[in-house]
Amino acid sequence: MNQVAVYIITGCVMFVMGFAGLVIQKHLLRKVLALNIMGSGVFMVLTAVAHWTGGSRPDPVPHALVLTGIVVAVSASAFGMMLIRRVFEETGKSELPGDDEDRIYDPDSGDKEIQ
Amino acid sequence: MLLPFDLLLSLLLITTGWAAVFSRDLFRAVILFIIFGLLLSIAWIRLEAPDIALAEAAIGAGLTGALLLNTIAFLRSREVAKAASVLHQTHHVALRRITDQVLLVISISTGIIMAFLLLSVVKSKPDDLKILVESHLHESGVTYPVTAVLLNFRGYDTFLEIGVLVLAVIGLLSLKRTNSEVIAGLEHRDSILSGFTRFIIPFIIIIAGYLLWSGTKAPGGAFQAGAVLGAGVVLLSLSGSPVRIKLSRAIGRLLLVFGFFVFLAYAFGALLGGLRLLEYPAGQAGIFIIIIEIALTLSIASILAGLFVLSSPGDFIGSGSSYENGEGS
Repeated sequence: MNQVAVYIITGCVMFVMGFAGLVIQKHLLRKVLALNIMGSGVFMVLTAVAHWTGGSRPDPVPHALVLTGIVVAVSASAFGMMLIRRVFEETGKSELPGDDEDRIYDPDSGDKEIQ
Repeated sequence: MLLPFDLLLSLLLITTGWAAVFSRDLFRAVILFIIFGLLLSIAWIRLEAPDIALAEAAIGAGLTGALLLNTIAFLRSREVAKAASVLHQTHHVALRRITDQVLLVISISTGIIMAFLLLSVVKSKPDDLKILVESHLHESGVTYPVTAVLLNFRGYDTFLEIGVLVLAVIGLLSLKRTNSEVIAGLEHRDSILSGFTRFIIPFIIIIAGYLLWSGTKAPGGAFQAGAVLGAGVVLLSLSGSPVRIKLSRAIGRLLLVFGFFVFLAYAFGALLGGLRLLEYPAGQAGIFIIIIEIALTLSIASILAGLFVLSSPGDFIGSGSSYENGEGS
């Protein structure tokens, strides 16, 4: 049982990391990356819970859910990346307009940001 | 017994995941994401989920990583002429603002609370779904529970899943510009890559067929087989093979929707024949599942390969028409 608890905790950590990255990061492609990590965290929790009660015969329903989830995640990522390309082609930036306004300082100069 | 292994694997997963999200260099972040996906496959094996491991390695790590690399190549190739400030954007990690740090702390504490809640709730998780599946497995037409759930008990979800795939590729087809812009690309026919591709393609076809067939009684199934076959098509396209299936022609587009339409046709046929939605006739579920899975495999392979080809960085001079709009391989 301890082994599965490790994976439940890891799944939660991955979910949280992905969420933090999604909100904090400005670059759109990094957001897609973070979303994928979030999804992997959710899948890990689902699979770990399926294994908890199963032992050598894990619950097959969460497995099917996770398989579907992986495929849907790749579809959404592919579509998101095509949208990123079009945003870049239209505006020349790979960040959304609101996030871009904050960037009025040089990131490598060590200044605190002026908001 | 293998607890130290699980702890080490989890630590590796968390570190590569962190680096994939917060790494300074975008290219490094994507490579670490691919590594993260492969480590995740090992975790799925540890959690007794071999089908998920197959799908994660092929689709989650492999195809998503390839798509991300294509997008980076596209962004970088267009950024060459732009100001350095744009390059800064791909290298910038915005953890300097106070709000960002507060957000990070809130997220971590939420995660800890979530983990504790999950651990306390999971002990009392009821078993009834698993018992239901196992008691009806003999009626499902296959002998492997995950395939039975995917193609029979929850066939509706799989039907919608293939619909989502078709929607994604339609979205890419409609968003991709017929751009006249060409960039000076490298025209290389990597001899190692093409030699290797020529060697591996027959094995890929056989392995895909085996995975498809074995899904009825062992880990495998339409999605894994489709992913392997799609990877083969991607290899063909990368190595400059003369084999081409134009997505702008009817045969290419038919392949994309074939799986969805076969599933839809079965749904209609069943309803017209007096059965409930997506219900199989008694005793004949196995045959229908195989037919639907074959159609799904072909479609999934075409869609995944199509997603990759449509995300290619752009038009290359001199490499024939490999990457032009509407063309796949």
